[in-house]
Amino acid sequence: MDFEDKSENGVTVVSIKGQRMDAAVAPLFKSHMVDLIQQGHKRLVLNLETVDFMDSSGLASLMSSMKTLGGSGEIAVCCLGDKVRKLFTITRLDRGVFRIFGTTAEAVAALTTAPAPE
Amino acid sequence: MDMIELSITSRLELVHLLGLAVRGICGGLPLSKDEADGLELAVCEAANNSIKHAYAGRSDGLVRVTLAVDGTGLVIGVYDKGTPLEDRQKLSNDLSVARSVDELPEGGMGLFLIRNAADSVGYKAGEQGNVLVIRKAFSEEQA
Repeated sequence: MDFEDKSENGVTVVSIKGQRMDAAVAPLFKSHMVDLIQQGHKRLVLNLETVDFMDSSGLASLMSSMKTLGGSGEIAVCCLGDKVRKLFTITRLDRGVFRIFGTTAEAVAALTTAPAPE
Repeated sequence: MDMIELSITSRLELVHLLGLAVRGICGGLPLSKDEADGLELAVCEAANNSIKHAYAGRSDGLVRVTLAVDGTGLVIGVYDKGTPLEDRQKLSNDLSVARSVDELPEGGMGLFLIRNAADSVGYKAGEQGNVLVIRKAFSEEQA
C-alpha cells in the first residue's frame, strides 16, 4: 500500500493508493498516520477514492489513528465508494465519529475553518 | 446440494483471494450485489479471525472455506485448526454508537459485520478444529 500526502491550507490530505484497506495492510496505514500525527499534522483528510474494499481491520486502524490524535485535531474522510460508504453506515461511524465529504476540496474547506487544534 | 471448497495458508495477504472467489460465486447466485458484497466481507472477516486469533498470526495453518448451495440458499463454512474462540458472547454482541473518541471500538467489529451479512451465524469447536458457519437464504424475488 502506498500513500500520497499533500498539504492544502494547513490540512494534510492523505490519499490511499490501493484498492484494499484490509487486515494485510492496516498496520502499514496505522504506522503512516501515527508518523504524520507525531510530526504535528493534526488536521487530516483521508481520500479513499481508490479503495474498493475495507474490512474491520481497516476501520480499526482509522479509529486508532483518531485516538492517537487524542482529541486535538480531526481526521475526516472523503471520496468514498458505495461499498466503503455502506461500511461506515453499518458500523455507525458516520454518526459523529468521522465527518464524511464527497470531495477533497469540501473536506479541506471544512477542516480549514474548524477551530485550531490544541 | 452443490459445493465448492477453497483454502489458503494462514497469511493475511492471501485472504483477499478468498474474498474474490466468494464474490465471484455469489455473483452467479440469486443474491443482490449488496448481499454478495456483505458475504465477501464476512468471509474475509472470518478468515482474518482464524489467522489473527485462532492461529495467533502463525503462517503454517490452513484456513478452509466451503460454500454449499441448494435451491433455498447458501451455507458458508470457515474452518481452522487453531485455538477456539473462548468468548462466544462476542458472536452476539452489538455495536454501540461511539459518542467520543475514547468510546471507539477497535475490536469485535468483524463478528458484527459477519452477523450483519448473514441470516444466521453459528460456531462450533471440536477435536477436528473450529468452524464458523454463515447461512444466507436467497431472496424470493431473485430465486
